[in-house]
Amino acid sequence: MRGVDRVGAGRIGRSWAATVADKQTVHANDRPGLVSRRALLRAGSLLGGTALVACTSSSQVTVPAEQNVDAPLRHPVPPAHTPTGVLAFFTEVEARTVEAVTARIIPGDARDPGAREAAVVTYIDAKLAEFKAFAEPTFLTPPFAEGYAGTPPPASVDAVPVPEDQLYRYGYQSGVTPQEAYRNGLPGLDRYARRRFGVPFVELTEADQDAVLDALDAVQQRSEGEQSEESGSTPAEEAGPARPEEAELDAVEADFGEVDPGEFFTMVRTDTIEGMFADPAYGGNRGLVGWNLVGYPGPQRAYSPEEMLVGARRQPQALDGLPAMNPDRRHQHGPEAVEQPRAGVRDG
Amino acid sequence: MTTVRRHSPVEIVTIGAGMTASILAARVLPETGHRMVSIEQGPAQWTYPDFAHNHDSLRYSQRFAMMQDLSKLSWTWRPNASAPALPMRQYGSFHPGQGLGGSLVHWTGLTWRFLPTDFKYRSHHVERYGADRIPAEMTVRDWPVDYAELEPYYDAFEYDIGVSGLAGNLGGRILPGGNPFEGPRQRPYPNPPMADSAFGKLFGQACSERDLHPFPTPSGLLSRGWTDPYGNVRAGCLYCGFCTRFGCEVGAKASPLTTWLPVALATDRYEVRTRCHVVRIDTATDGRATGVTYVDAQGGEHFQPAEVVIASAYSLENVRNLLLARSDKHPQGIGNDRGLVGRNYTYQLEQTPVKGLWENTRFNFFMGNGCTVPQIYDYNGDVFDHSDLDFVGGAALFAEAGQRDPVTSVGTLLEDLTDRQWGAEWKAMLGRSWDSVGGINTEGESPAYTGNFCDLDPTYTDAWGLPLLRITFDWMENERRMYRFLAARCVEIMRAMRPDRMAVQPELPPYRIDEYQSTHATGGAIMGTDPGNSVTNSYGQVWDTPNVFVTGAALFPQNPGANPSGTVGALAIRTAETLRDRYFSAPGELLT
Repeated sequence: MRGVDRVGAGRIGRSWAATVADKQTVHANDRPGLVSRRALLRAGSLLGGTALVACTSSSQVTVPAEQNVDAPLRHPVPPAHTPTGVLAFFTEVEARTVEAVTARIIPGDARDPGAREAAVVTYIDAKLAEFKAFAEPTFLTPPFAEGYAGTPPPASVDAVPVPEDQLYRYGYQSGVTPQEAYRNGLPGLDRYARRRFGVPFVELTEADQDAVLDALDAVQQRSEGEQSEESGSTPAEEAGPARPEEAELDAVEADFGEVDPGEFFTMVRTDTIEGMFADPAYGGNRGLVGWNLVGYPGPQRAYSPEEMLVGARRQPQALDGLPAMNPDRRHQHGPEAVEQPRAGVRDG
Repeated sequence: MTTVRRHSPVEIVTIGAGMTASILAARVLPETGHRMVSIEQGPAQWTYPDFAHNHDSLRYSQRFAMMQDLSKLSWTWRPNASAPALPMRQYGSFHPGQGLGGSLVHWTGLTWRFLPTDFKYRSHHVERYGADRIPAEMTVRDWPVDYAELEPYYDAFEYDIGVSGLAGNLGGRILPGGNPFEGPRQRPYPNPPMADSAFGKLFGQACSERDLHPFPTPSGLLSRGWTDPYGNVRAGCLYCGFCTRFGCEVGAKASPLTTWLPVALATDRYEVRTRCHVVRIDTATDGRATGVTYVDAQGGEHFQPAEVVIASAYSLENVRNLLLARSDKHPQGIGNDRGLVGRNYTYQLEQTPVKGLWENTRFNFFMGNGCTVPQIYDYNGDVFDHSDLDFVGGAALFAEAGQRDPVTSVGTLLEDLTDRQWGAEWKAMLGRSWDSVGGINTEGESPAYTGNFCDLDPTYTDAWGLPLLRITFDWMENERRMYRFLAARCVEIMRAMRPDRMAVQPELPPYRIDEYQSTHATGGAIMGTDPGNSVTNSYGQVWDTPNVFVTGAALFPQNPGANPSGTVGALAIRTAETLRDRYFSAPGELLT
């Protein structure tokens, strides 16, 4: 089952204020029309956005205070300040363990940076500190699900019994929040590491750390593997790291206690990917190392049809290098810019 | 005891301010003196300033900033009537939007007309293959409108939003490069097709080599600047790569914000109340609807009286609002006097049966949008002969388009291409191959069955204490056979694209609610020819409560192999013109 780590509540905060502080009032585009607009955009994106045309909103339109590019209406919004690494949720010990796990999920060194170099643990810590439950909207009304094998237990008001091999089809159903999953899962990880190798996770060799994570991954695959047998589809190839014995997987589950080790691993992996590849404003992807790894130039304003075929040379940039897009049409030249707020729409 | 604030009566109130509500407002209000109010659960949002700085994949694609707030309201699902139902607690299968403009703000833009045979589904199959071709439990039906009747409305919708495409059938004449299987159209598309991506070109060439008929995706994104019939001026697409799940910052992607809302709001007789949630369609003792009750963001309760109530929210919420409107006259809800609300719930078979890896090739997948690829219809609907096949139905096949971003793609990109989905080897392969892996997708039919339906959940309630809608749905044997056939065709095309490696999913996995497939939840309040086979007539007018109308994909008797927005829009224009020209001369009467 996936996705313990996704979803969220909102949070008040400004977003990209600093990035658009240099919003200009240039009336360069007096001629209406799309050609000049596109040309300017093109120029803007190539030259780093200095030539963007400013807003010329018409007189009868007033933009509500809360509704401007510096404070977008939609939540969740990015953090007001890029997390710096001062821990806000994890203890030092927890942070070291999480960092060690992320560094096995996306290993790296100075020449070929990975999760550690990208400061993924800073991203995860900030995310956990910011959202009491999830970062994405999540329906948390009970009852939650309880898996069973064999005879179904009687239904109760506290839990909905679901055949264990069907649980994966329903997505997140445990009711465990990410904060709880990390706080209770990390000791489980160390219990397992100690039982198998005698020392906590961070003290293991990289090979032994991989062996531990392989077991967690295998627990996750087991919960979905039963599914593919039932549906009659054959798993492609069963090559790769040999799956640990069933008894060993059961023991891993026992070490983790109330936290599902498979879900825990999936959560950390997803968070690692987010921290490696999300905008650096969220605290990870430091130096754009994630985007550089895969050859992604970050957010850009435009590509041409030709560039879609042959590629584009762009300086990779983060969101704070991307100028805000302003409307360039002016009321006197024709229909009022259709993009802006209008009377007749308001909170009831 | 809270007091309910009673508003001045209006002619029309709609639940939701998305595409169909704004079409009604733009088509009804300017030429009449009517007043209309839309109650919208989400916030106001405008191209500027709300989308001016929105290229944040984490926020929009991973944290769903534009989608309905699932923490307040979701849907439960179970695979069959004997399985337990649980809420979709986080976004998976579908992504309904909320806020001004609805899902047509964050959509991908594919704008189809259904095939002429789609509208005569049952009679066509019976006529061509015999009555025993359709399994007993398959409750597919003919639509109460046919293609010819709907064509002028498709045309109007396409010109309203400025669809970019290449006609394949102009008045019966088959044109090179377009979709030769489409129904005849009276005019070409208003704008030329979108540019092709590199991967799209490769797919198109492979299809042509195999004597298939690739054609450009009909796109609700503008390929060039466009002034629409209302006088709105919109810019062409910049291929920026932030489209699905984002609002368009230049207005190139069609949305109510840039097409119908400006016209409607300019009348001063249209009002949208945002952050307000409808909790009830109210009825009088004679069973007729009197208006809607809603709750504002501060918890204040309001009543908006109206002569006509329109269920114009997301399809599933329209079904739920009908079921929740229980009264002495309608003990099972509005439209449900014969127990048909919730029946014929269908979906969309959207899958990626095969993906390929081309070493040392970069396709620039991060550019473009969801429409920058060709499609083929050679295996859609009943375009191909099913005589020797063991299923009905088909799918459009298309190459993976653009708009790939790392944060949402790296998690699954290399599944079935490398053993471990983490670690040094995986990372190295990701670095080499992130822009070198692409798939072929199906946009497939979903027939209706007695076993797939929606009703009210007995356990879970929303933030306002009302029962959630419970979806009972799974793929059936017909779709597994259809998928097997389609997957084999996808593999043939993929081979012709000559990848270095290939990963195939030959069998259709069971439906699961936690994986995104498409937002095309259809049916549940279907239209038909009489109250014995449907909830509404062809205008979406509810048989048993004629001053309630339903718009949107809940009306579809079953779902063909195409995205629904084009047909939803055409039907809404038809309903709007009927409301404008005919309904109010005999209010409360069934339209014929």
